Amino acid sequence: MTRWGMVIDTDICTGCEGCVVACHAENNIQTVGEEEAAKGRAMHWLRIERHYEGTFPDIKVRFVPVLCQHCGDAPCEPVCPTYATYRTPDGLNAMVYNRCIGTRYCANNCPYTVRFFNWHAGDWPAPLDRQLNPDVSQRPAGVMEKCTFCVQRIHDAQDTAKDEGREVADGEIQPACAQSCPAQAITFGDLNDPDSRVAQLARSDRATRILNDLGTDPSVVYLQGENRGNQGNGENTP
Amino acid sequence: MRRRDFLKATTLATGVSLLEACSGPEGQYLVQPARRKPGSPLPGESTWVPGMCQQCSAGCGIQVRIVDGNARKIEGNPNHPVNLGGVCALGQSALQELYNPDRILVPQRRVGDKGTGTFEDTTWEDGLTAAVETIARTSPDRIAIIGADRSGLTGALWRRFSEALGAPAPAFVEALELEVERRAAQIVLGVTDIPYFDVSHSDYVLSIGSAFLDRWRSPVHYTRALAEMRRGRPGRRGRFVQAEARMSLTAANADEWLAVRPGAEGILARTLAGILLSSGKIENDNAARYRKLFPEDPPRLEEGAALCAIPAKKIERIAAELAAAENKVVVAGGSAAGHQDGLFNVAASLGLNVLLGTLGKPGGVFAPASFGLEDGIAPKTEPTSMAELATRLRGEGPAPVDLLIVADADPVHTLPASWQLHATMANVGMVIVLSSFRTDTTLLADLVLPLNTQLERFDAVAPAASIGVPVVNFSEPSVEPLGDARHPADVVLAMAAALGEPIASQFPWASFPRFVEARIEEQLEQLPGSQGMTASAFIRLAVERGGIFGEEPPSLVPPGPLDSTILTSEVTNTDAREDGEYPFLLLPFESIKTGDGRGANRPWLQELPDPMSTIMWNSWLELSPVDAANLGIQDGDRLSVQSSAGSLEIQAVIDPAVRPGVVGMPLGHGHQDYGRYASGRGANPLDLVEQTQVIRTAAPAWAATRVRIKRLRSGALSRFGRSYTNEEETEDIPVGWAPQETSRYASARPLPPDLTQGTPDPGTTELPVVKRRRLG
Repeated sequence: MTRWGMVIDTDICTGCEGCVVACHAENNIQTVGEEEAAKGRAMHWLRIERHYEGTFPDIKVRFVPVLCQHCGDAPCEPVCPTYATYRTPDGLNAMVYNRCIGTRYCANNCPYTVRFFNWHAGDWPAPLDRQLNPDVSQRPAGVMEKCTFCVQRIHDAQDTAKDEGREVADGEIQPACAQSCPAQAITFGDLNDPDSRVAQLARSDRATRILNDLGTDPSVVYLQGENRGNQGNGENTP
Repeated sequence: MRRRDFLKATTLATGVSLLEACSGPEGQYLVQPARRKPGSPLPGESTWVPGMCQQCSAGCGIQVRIVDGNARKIEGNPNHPVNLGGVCALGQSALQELYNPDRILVPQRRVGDKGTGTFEDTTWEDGLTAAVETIARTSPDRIAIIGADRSGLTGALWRRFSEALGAPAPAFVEALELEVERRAAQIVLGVTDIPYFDVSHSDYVLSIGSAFLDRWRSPVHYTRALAEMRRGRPGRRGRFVQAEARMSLTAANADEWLAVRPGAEGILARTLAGILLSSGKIENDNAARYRKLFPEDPPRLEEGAALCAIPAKKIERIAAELAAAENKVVVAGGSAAGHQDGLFNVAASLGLNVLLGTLGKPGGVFAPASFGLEDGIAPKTEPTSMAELATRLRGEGPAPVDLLIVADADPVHTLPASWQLHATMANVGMVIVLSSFRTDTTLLADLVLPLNTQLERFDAVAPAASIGVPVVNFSEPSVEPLGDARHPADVVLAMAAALGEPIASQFPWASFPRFVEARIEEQLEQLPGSQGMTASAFIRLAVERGGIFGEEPPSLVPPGPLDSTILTSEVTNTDAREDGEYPFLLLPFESIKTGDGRGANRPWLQELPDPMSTIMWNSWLELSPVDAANLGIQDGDRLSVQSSAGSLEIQAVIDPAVRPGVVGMPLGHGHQDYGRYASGRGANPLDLVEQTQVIRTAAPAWAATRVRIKRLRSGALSRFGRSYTNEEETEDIPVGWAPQETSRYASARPLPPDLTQGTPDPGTTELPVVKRRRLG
């Protein structure tokens, strides 16, 4: 059985946010404007968290791209009264927009804060609407949305493979974030296929998962980098 | 009301509303035409068209997804040597340049007062006639031209046009420090343009001032190169050290950040050189070449350490690491070039490459390479510097300016306000601006000629930032043009033709594509892969591939120092002087969001949280917590910032990674007129920059302005998420396939042995989880 998963190498991720714009472009994510953004209503299915450690000049920075972790035991799923969010057989945490009634319980329950509520419908003044991706539905006001692992791309690759009478090849599916990444820090594939690139990377001794001890069983694996930043070897304190 | 009446009324009302629903905007319900051109995609079918990115001078190759004739997505071209498939935030936002609701789509003629931006539509015919008549009746020495694309084919046509008219050479708007970097590279490495730094094959990269991951010359290329350096060679991870006064995105990604005192970057390089020279690990030839270039004795370690404010033991260790590394390179530029002593700073840093012998070595520094398609088109005279042009506009040159042509640039916004372009342009008799958008410059225009965008035109561009192998990008239109806009080169050709002899005969090409074809035809034999092909067939092939690329890897060895010397000038380190009236040094920087300002009119980029400050939809001033506490400033407070050149209001961001005494501010915000998403948003740090120049160049010393700060009132900024500065919350990322402890912040550790051997199967791994009841 397939389990879609992702490995992000934080040693080479520079936090350039190419993936964030790629995600907006691919998934027709609306921009909400300054006022709404100030209320915390900006939607970034994928965000770059920036963490400072230490104080000047012994300070270091860590960037962590955070998206829906497509948990194996997702805290958002059991709280949905309408089953709008559920786990698919191939390991995606899916979201059915037209079942969602906007209780926002799922966002409350998500420890990764990666679910976003449409307070308003998206506004695309013409001709900006011509850039919209026809493969992804626009969400109306009042529903939740979040990273789908670019499910439209997964289905597209599966359809193509089926037409050609073969299996989907490893690396054939690239979510928008992975494809755009200048550093190629993001790898996507089937975690349950031991030979897939993503499963090999997930076996690395640098592999970690975020908040795993909550029992969420995330499908996104992070490869930790070297200890970046000033070394804190006492050179700065004469 | 009776039941029957009620039913009647409701049926009627429902019917009317249904009818209304059907008569929505027509376009929404238009059925696709039954007939299509043979070979054209089916309705809803998606095709990928190769193209090139022109959002900065790096020249990445892209591919554009087209569905139903509209561009839907931009991805990188994996076979392009500049970006290898990657694409940055700014590059992807080119869709919102193309489909921006605020584009200028037909020529505009000024009807109101100058500076009010009141225009009416006109035609290309009338617009060009007006332009040509003005050119014909203006004395050539009173014509001034400002262009973009200094080194490319379009730039070459502007230079040729200018010479044909007998007018002074055009000036080109480019990154503020580029002139300094180019000059330093010329003196130290003997190359004519910015060299290529082979980061991917290096074991040790020391970057002095250049924020090469933020924007600088080629952010996508260097991001990939850094990734290759770290993880591309199993068992061999290079080390990257960044010396920069402000913690840029690049510094944040370094293995070690040296918070050098701003303006003292050159001293740091010279101090390192001093240690290296006395270490006995430098080849004699290299040492002799270096000594010839820098005849003075380098500063002593303690002295140098005190001047650049880096501990002596640290400098010593870095010198030892540099000497010991097999492949190494010193990258220089950026803010180090923006100080009054910028030329010395960059030259001294690049000089370390001469000393370490990295010229033409793997992982070292290479000369820029080009096919030279523009050779013979551009005249030999060097372009005018922007500073000189500003002097002419101020009436301080030999003749005043009566006609100004600005092509594809917004100099009023991207150059320091102290150059007074805004005030002086208002006095120029006729200002013609070629632009896709209303900008601060078009506000002062008499005639605006609309330019098409990168996805709507045929183009051939040699990227200004070399990657060590020659590259010329080719692209054809990906989509039908939105309006009646043209390529700037086509405007030059049209004006030249209309001006008649003797100018017209120097431009014998009917259009820009014909011009490119003629250039290719002339040089066909020297271009790789052209055997047995005609020029047009070769161009078609180049368009399909995205361009013509030279052989990799880079191989051009820089010739080395010219026969000149570089002395430490007396102003060294004055940028860091203690100044009572203006206690802070202002460091403007290019952010990934806006670039030089062109990204500000795209909602995706405005709503993109800056990776360091997490600010959206605004600009900000970064200051250290120490300074903030002294001035009683809280995060988000509204501040007044003043320099001797100007003042502005802006919100504060307290950033623990800023050097005390330094304040940072992003460029590219504070547009007066740049569409609904950018106008009046944030502030432009160039309003504060003084009119000082980098010594021995005409470039502005944009990182040398001192400011004072006053708190006005409390305020707020739009931020995404939280920033963590609290010790407790900043430990290692919580982790592990099957952690034993239940602490939320368990530290990183190797996987349990059973999992490192087999496939991790999270479904069957037993986890110490809190059991929750599942619904349903």
